Amino acid sequence: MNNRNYIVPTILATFVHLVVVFIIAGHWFDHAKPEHKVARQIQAQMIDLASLSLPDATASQQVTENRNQQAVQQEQQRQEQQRQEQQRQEQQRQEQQRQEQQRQEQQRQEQQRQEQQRQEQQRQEQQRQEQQRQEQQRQEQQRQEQQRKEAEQQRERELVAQREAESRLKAERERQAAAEAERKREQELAAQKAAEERKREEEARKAAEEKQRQEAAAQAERQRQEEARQREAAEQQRRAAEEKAKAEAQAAAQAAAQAAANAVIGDIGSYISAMLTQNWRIPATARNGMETVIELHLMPNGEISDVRIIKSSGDAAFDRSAEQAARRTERLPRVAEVEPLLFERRLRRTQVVFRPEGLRW
Amino acid sequence: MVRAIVCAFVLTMSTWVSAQLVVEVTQGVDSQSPIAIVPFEWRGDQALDEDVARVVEQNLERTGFFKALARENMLSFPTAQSQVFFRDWRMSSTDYLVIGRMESVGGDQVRLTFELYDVLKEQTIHSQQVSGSRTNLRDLAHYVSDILFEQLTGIKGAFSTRLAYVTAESLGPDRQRFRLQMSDWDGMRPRTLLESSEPILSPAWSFDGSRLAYVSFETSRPAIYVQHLATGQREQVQSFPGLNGAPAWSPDGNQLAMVLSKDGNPEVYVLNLSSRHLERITNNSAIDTEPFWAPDGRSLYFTSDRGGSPQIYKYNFNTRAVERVTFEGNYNAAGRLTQDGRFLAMVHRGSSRRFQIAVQDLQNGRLDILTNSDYDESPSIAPNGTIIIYATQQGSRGVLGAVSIDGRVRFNMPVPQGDVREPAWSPFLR
Amino acid sequence: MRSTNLSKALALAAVMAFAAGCGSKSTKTDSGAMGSDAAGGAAAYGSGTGSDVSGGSWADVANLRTVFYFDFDRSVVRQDGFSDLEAHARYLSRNPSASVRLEGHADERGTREYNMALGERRAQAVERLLIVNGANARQIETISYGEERPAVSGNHEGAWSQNRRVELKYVSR
Repeated sequence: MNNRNYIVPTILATFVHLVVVFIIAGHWFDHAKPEHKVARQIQAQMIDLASLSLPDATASQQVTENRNQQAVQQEQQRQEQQRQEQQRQEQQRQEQQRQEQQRQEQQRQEQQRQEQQRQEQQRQEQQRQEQQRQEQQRQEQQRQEQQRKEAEQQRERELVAQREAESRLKAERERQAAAEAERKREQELAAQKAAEERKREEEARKAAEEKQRQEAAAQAERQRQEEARQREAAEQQRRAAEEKAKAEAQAAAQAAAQAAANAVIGDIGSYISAMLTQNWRIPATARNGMETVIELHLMPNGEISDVRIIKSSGDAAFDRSAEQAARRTERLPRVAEVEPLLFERRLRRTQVVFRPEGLRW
Repeated sequence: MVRAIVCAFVLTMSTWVSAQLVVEVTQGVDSQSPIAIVPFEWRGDQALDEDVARVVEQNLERTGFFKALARENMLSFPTAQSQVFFRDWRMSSTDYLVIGRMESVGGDQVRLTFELYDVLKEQTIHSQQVSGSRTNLRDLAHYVSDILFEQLTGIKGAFSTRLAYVTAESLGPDRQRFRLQMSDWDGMRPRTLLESSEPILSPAWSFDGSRLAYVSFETSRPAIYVQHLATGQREQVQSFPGLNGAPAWSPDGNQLAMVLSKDGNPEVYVLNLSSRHLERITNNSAIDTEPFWAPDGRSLYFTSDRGGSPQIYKYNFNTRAVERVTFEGNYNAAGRLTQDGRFLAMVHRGSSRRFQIAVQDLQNGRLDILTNSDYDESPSIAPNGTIIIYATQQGSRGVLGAVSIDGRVRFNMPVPQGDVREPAWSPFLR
Repeated sequence: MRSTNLSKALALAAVMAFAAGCGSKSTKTDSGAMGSDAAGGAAAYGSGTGSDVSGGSWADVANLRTVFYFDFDRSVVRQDGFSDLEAHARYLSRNPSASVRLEGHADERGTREYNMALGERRAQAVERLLIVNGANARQIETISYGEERPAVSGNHEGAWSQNRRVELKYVSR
């Protein structure tokens, strides 16, 4: 009986206590003063004087400056760079594939030409036995013939290169237009199409050549001069037509080609920046706001042949560090992949601005 | 109209297109410059007492700006330009190379010819002949270090400077021996300026390096003395009842700031040494102490607990206004400024509750803690502002530590016997 | 805001009262413990509080506490030293030829010159108490040794607490 009398007051008392504790706790926590701003602790590299005099001790603690925010930022930057690097590598790989195909093709052509020459020589041997009278004349003709063919092949190679450039540009435009995910696949498709196109053309050209060669063999004995004259006329016509087509194609391709060139140059620019970043040892005297501009003299193979300071920061140590970054880099291998003309126009002299950001002072 | 626009567009496009590539680099590697100091050749009969190249190497490395190539990693030991193969040095990732040869030039004089090379550019940066006394080869080494440091960094070297500091030795119960010492910047070649059984503290260099002010209890009361280093002659400048402490020189060398409690409470005063006029600077019921003159002479920094905890304040001589300088942490004291007046080094205690050396950038208020032990005190800055020397503890002994002002490199000074404390870095001498 | 502060202050006061209750007990045991360190201090404490006799003779002073301790970065004389200091003051007021030297000390944490000032302030705090209780300022000399003369060496609170002190020394009786 007595117990029941106590239950309600006990509950009430407990409740009141809880409320009081709750209110006080609230005030307490509200007024909990935030900790003082904590100054940054810089971790130093400890130089052990004993180790300086002992020959075997070398390694010492690495300097790990505690820049959290910066570290995060750098990490982001690094990831970004990685992503860009991957993209770049992908492009590079495709480019290499294309180049590889082209090279193989050229090899094939070379072999064919050699084969032709060999057969031609055999035929010459026979002809010499049979018709010694016309030998001089015929040889002259053959030389002309060879020259012509070579010229033709060269033209065709140029044509192929041009078409290739066109298809590359197309791929580039598509890439820019399409979504990031789609881009790669489309490029591959474009590259395939280009390869197929080239293959078809190649086959057609080969067939024509074969036919021409047979005809030449058959008609060698008679009416050679006449035929040569005819062929020359046809050739001239064809050349004129080709010239016209080329001019048109060039005009159309010019702007696009420059856009592509800019993309390549931009890419190479960030590549050079990355290479120099790796090799730039920022001196302790460097301060935010300092700026040195150097000029790299590049060779087509990517070698840095000379470095010049064209704008000084006013701090000799800082200037030297920039110059040394370039000298330490020595070579920029990817520059060698750039088309010679583009290299000549845009890269042979490259300016680099060294402007430190995020330094302590 | 349209054609004009198209033309303009094409023109700008073409100029832009044919423009040179400009690359920007804003990040780099944050590390010391690798340098190789090849042992100097000695053309003489008796071996020399000091390895001059080694002293140079240690000097440069202790600044935190350089990393020296270990001798066992050197592929060759050239002593003349004809023996230098830059490829070799490049392979061992060396940016700078120093070679030299020494010879006797009669009497006890020796001459050192040295060359500094830029390995990457394969060029001589500097070459010079210096001579000095054979018995003071460290002077020669410090001098060469000064030259090299300035050539490489553009900052005047402070290797030919001196340190003053106090040592204390226990000679049994209640008996102690205090010494005021002076040494090279690296703690070598110490000599005693004053010895006493009573405490000595707060040595302070005049800005021209000719005089040292300090506090000595030799009369069983604290008094401030000024000692002329050239002659050893000294005078007692102040001894009031109570506290006489913390002397600090004005940049013109004519005034001495100090702390006196003659008016009842530790306050900062300025004494004119020629007119003997004494002026009270602070007037506060709290502790005001540790004055330090700003290098421009226009203000005086000091420690005060007027805000409840010791913090550093700044007194402006023109406006007579006092302004609080430090805000982070609950104990900031013993402020010392760099010569350019930009950085304030101090003893700092923050949330870690340890006494550490910290540097505040007075331009942006940023505070960086440079040291990592529990009881670091008495910071003193090299005249070129690159290194801070301070008192710290190794085990239970007081030793001197040094830290580069950017916190990248720390090292301890060689320890003589006893407790070492209260280092004071001299200004540039000579 | 007001009410929160009030409640906080009340709570604090309660805690303080409680702590003081505990503290007074512990100080007694503390000073007892210190007494065993500083020969006969405990006995001096007993006689100092116990004897209500006028205290004009040297014998009354000889056994009083002469070392007074302080909290970190503080220069306020703790209450447990008041009675002994009053007794010293009484002796000084009755013996105008007697004089004392008050040596202020600090523990070794913090900078030397700041500690020098802190030692000075501690000595001055004791001096004020003596004067308030009848001693003449001319009888008293203060000096600070800062952290230069620690009583106990070591980097722990045990040592530090014994180094934060003012030592009262009779120069003449």
